[in-house]
Amino acid sequence: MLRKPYQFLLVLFFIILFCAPIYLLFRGHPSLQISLIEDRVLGLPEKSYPTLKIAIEYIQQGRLDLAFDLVWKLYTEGALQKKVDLAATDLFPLRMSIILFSKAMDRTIIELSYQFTGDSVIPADMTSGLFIMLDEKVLIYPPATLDKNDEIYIQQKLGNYRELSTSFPEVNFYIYYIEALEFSPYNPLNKYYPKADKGQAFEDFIENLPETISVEMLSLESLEEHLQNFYRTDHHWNTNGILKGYDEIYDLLAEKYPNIPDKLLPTEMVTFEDIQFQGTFDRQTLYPIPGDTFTGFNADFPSCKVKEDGVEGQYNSRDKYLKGEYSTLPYVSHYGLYFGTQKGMIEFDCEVNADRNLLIIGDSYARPLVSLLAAQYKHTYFVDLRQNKDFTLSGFLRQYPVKDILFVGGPNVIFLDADQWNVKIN
Amino acid sequence: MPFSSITFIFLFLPIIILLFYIVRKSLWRNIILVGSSLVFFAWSDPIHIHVLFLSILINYFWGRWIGKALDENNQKLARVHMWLGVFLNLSLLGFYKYTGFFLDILDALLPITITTATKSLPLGISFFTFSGISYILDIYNKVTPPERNLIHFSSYLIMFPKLLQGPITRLIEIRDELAHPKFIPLGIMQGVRRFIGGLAKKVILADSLSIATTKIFASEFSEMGAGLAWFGILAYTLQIYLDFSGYTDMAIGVGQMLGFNLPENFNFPYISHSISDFWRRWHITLGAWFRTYLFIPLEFARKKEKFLRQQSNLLIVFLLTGLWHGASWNFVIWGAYYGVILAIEASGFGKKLKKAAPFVQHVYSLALIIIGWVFFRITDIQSWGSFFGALFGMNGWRDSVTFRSLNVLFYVPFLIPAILFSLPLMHRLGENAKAKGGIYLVLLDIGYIILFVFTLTFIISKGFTAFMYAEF
Repeated sequence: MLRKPYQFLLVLFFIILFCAPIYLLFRGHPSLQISLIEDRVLGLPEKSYPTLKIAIEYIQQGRLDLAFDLVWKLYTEGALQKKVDLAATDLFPLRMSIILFSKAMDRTIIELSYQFTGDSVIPADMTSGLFIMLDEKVLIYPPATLDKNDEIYIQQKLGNYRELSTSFPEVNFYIYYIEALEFSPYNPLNKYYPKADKGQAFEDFIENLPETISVEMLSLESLEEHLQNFYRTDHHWNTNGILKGYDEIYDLLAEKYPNIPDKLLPTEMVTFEDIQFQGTFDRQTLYPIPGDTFTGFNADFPSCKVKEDGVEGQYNSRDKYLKGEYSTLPYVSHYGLYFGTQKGMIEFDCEVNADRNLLIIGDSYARPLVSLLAAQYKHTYFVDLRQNKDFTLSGFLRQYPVKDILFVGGPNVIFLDADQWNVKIN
Repeated sequence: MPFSSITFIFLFLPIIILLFYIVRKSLWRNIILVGSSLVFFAWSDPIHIHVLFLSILINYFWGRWIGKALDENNQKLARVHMWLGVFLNLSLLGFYKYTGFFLDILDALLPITITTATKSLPLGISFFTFSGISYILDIYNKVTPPERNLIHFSSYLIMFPKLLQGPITRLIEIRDELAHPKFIPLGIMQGVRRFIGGLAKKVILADSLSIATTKIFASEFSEMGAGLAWFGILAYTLQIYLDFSGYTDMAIGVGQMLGFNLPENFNFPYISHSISDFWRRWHITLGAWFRTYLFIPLEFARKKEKFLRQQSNLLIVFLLTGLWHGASWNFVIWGAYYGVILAIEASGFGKKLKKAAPFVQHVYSLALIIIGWVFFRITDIQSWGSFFGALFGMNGWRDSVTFRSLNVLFYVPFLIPAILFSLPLMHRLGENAKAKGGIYLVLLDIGYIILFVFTLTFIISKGFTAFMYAEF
């Protein structure tokens, strides 16, 4: 027995207090740690301090002033402190178990708070802003409510489309809008958000869009349609939605492209039975629901050479998946791996009987479409403006003769985020 | 470096504790304390480290010069040095904190355009400059002799537990502990308990409520129902107390672990019987500072004046208290609000209030405190009307901005523990267990350990947020 009662607290407290530094001291130098859930490398000091390494090299070379300048800058900007703070948290013993426990506590408090409301759609955790539809086990965003700044952005986007259509009259512009649940009249939370957008912003946007731009959308006509076309644990559209989107885009392009080659039809639908796809929403909330069934499809894809940012490569891992070569670890980003990776510019040069080229401007929603639409064009280019900040349309068209330009995406890409998605002309 | 960060709890604190108990000589301990305090400060605010050095040097040398003048019975020179020392401290504070505010006033008053570059505020400047002023004035008033040892003096002025958010400490309160550090296991144990309690108050309750209040006070008050407005202001009332008192508990706790007894800063202010009582319980060291170094001298200097002397002195003191909290009109008005109420209480209303039922006294005090927090929280004075409108039902019980639309419904249960920890109940339970000892004490400490582990889960999963009072 302890001699004095207070020793009990002291011993336990100091054991806990010293356990983390001792653990860090004795764990040695493990290899690179990647957190799949957070999609990042966990902060290991020796891996994260290139500046410090350079400073040490300077010291070894006797160039102390340069070393001091480097470290001083790192320190006064707070970068050094932030990295140490992050590493201390990242490398804490049992970190992931602690986070899971905390999320479980979040859920208990939320369920307690909503006990008396009878709501069937409640927050999935306390931090992500995502909700869970309890009956359907679907994670969703709450309705979007737009403010004056958003209205300014919409006007800026409209101005950009007008400028594009007048500056490049010889080019056909198309918009394919993927209606997100948070902007839809069918979001089950709309009744609690008196200022919910419910699709109004897009309607206003369309009314003011130049008539020369052709528009089509993956419209949600009911909540069930959302459940059919999108994953339960991820914000992306699933195979069903993708194929529906491709169908509609094909028809849209065909209006001004009389000789368009035949539509690509899926020859095989594949369900990867051993994959539980736990998408972005799942990663953010760690909500204990089963992952999505992950499906893909095969088709008579034409033979293409693919360049990613000018370098020849493999756009996606579809072929590997179809051969059964994939990871079944939880939280793997199957959508990205299967449908295509994100780069500044992807170029498809395909053996297709076509004389036109297509430029697709869009985000991750457009990735699965690229390999499908490449079957209708000689050259298909895919630009993600978030990763291609220097992109100008004049510059691009000088280099690549393109007749059709297609914008694909959700609200941010199409009408809301002018900062990221306005196309610079010069 | 926030007390509630993993870096502090699991790296900084264990290293300092180890060093402190390996090194026994007071000078070396104080060297460690000064060094660690500089690291602690620079961790969050590296570009202002020179301000800390400047403050140390100003107060150390002026303290010595005042002491020397007093030793030579040169009262006049001592007074000159005293005023210079106070002036330099206030200049330091004024330069960083109030330049923009006063230039804005000049800009509005004069027919010229004044533009200034915004200066970032050194962390804790209001606290360490006030400590510096108290040191200068205490030497001048012969409360304590000047500290000759620069290391001992520096460790008093910038010791990390109290550096960023107080308690504002006078040298006389910790002088013996700095010179003769004591290792008392009972003190460490009390420090550990105090630290865990403060950490839990800050991380679990204050930080959670702060997410809710940030959303509520950023939304449109003219579309807010009374229910949400009341939740918002109640949550803020609890949050600001738990945040600040939680920090103070951690500061006092760390101090005790290192062998220092820092002064108390809070005594359950929300059970006050009057506003005068509230200011004896809220931010006690700041109140004591203003009472000792401003109110009493003012009373003394104006002792021949009879008409509204005390009332006008109270108003001056609280206008400055408001200004101390921030260079913004809402803080000035918040201070004036308390100045006026205290002046009324001092004019006889306070005596009448004492005769009322305790319940009435509590309701009166709490209502005025809560209204005061509206002025404090909402910096845009023009929004006060619409927020009070929402509070008093102008928009009905529910409107467009609701608990659900802001996604804050799940913060409502946090009010219960927040209220419990704002009242003396939990404190009394702890004290009873300590008094009974034996198994009760063991159970209490098991509770503390569980609370500590539970708090860590919050820190690791949600990261950490800056303490509110560091900005004042």
